[in-house]
This record gives sequence, structure tokens and C-alpha cells, in this order.
Amino acid sequence: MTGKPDKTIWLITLMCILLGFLSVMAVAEQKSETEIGGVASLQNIEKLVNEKNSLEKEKEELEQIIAQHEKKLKEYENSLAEKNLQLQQVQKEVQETRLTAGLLAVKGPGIEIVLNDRKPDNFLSSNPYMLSFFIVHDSDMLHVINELRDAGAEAISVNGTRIMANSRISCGGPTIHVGKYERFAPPFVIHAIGDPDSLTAAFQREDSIYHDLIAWGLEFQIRRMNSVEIPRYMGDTEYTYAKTVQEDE
Amino acid sequence: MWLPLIGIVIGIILGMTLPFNIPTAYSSYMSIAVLAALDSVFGGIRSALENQFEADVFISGFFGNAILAAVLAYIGDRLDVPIYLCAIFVFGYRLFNNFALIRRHFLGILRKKSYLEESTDK
Repeated sequence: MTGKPDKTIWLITLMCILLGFLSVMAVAEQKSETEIGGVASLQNIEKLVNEKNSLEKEKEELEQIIAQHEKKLKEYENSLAEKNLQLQQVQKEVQETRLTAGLLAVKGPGIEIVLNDRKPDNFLSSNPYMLSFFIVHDSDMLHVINELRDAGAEAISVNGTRIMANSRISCGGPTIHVGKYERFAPPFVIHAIGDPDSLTAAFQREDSIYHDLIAWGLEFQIRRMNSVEIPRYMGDTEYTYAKTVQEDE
Repeated sequence: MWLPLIGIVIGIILGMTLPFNIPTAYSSYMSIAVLAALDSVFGGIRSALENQFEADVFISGFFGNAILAAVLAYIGDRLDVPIYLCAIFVFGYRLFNNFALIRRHFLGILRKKSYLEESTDK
């Protein structure tokens, strides 16, 4: 074993060179990584993006099927109404009811509101315990929508989801549940159809939520729009418990 | 005696100068490679101190361990279970074990020396 130590030390040295090299690579690589959380691997992200795309495609296809069926339904209605004057009246009423219920896409002048959390800055990072003041809550959104209704908005949507008479707006952790199905993270884009002047004027009032949110540094942009398109409600309207009351009973 | 330390410095300089880039997706593989190298170095030093060093065992140990750990990490990545943690655990355990033996070896030498000094003083 006397001749060996030389060889030993050289091999260990070689391994040390490798060790130094590898550790530099590992450190340099971590520097370039700017992921938050860090658990998400690239494969994971790719998988999720693919899943999202395929789901969106599926949704689009299903919506097309709905549109086809509705077109057929309308054709039946029209062909019947042509024959009968009374049915024409009924059809008109049905259409009006659909408009009130939010089952028709509508278009008209209105405003666009963008709500967003306060941008990260020094004040925010030095007061992390006050974080809840700096984010858009479900109650803020409810306030905004109520003020829009107060100002005479005829149709309202949040991020492309029609707000119906029974639409919920509730807290979903870092997100806000809107309506029966949707769940949104900021920024929230609220569209409303109505008189643009009175809609914008509503937020000038002294007791408007606008001043509160602006005071806390949240993003609250109001923009007049000559033409706003608000989609129809997509989903089922099932009544399990409520039954209509028959007047003549 | 100082050659391994010089080796680390050479390795760091090489790593800084050579334009190699490793994709972020392989970060877990990288950390395992570093641990495998560290484990081999400590294991080598220990066996050298015990006069049991064998080159073939040393080299095959490094590559075998690194490949097995990489395979585990790959399987873990596919199954979404962090199996590579088990490789990190084993490497870490062996690292501390080897370090303890190396420490004892040098402490033993120091003690013997001090006994000798004491005895010569008397």
C-alpha cells in the first residue's frame, strides 16, 4: 500500500475538480431561475397549459352546439309565429323575458371598469400584515356592481360573465367566485351597458367605493365605451325548490 | 494534502469560465450530482485515511451512485413523487458518517501527539 497514496490523492483531486464544477453549475442555474414557489417544473407547466387549451377548445365546441340548437329552436318559433298572429305576440313576450333574464347577448353604449390589486411596492412589502387592505375583495366588487345598478346599468358582466339576478359574488380565497361557475383572479374587467355619463358620474359621488379603493392604492380605471358587448348567460337555470304559484288555485 | 482543495478551486474556475448552461427542468438532477460528488470525495478521503482506498471502487461508486440517483429522480418526476429525496437522504447520511470517521481519525492523531509531547516533557 505504500505506492498507492499518490494515486489516491490524484483521484480525490480529480473528484474535487468535478465537485467544484458541478456546484458552480448548480448555483449559476439557480440564479437564473426566477420562479415563485419553485415547485412547478417545466413539464408541469407545459402539461397544465395543454390541459387549459384543450378544455377551452372543448368549451368552444359545446357552445357551438348550444348555438346550433338555439338556432333550430328559433326557426321553429318563427315558422309557427308566421302562421298565427297570437303566437307572434307570445314570441315577442318571450324575447323580452329572455332579455330581462339575461339570456340574450346585448350591445350598447356603456363603460368599462378595471379593478386590480395594489401594485407591489415598498409600502406594501414593509406592511405585509395590512395586505388585506390592498387587494380587491368580493365585497368591493359587489359594491361596484351595486353602484352601477344604482346608476341605471341595464346589463353587467365581469370578465365576460353575465351578472344575473341570482349571480353570486363571493370570496374564493385569492380569487372571487362570480356566478355559478366562474372563478376569477385579478384584474377584474367589469362591463356595463347604460348611459355612460350617469354611470361614470356615480363614482364621482363622495360616498362611492371608488374613493375608498383609490385611497388604498388599488387600481380602479373607468373608461367610457361607445359600444360594449355583453354576452348572454351560459349555463342551466334549474329550480328545484321554488314552484310557481298558480293564481287560480 | 492540499491537492483536493486546489482541485475544488480549479473546478470552480472551470465552471465559471466554461460556457455551459443546464435547463431549469434538471435542477433536481444537478443537486443530486453535487451530492454524489461530495459523497465520493468524503468517502475517498476516509478510505484513504484507513488505507483501504481502491481506485475502481471509488470511481464505480461515484458513477453508479450518480446514475442510480438520477434514475430515481427521473422516476419521481414521472410519478410526481419526490423520490430523489431518498437519494439526498442517503447521500447526506453517508456524508456525515464519513465526516465523523475522518474527524475521529485526525482527533486520534492529535491525541497521540499530545500524549507523546506529555511523555517527552516528563
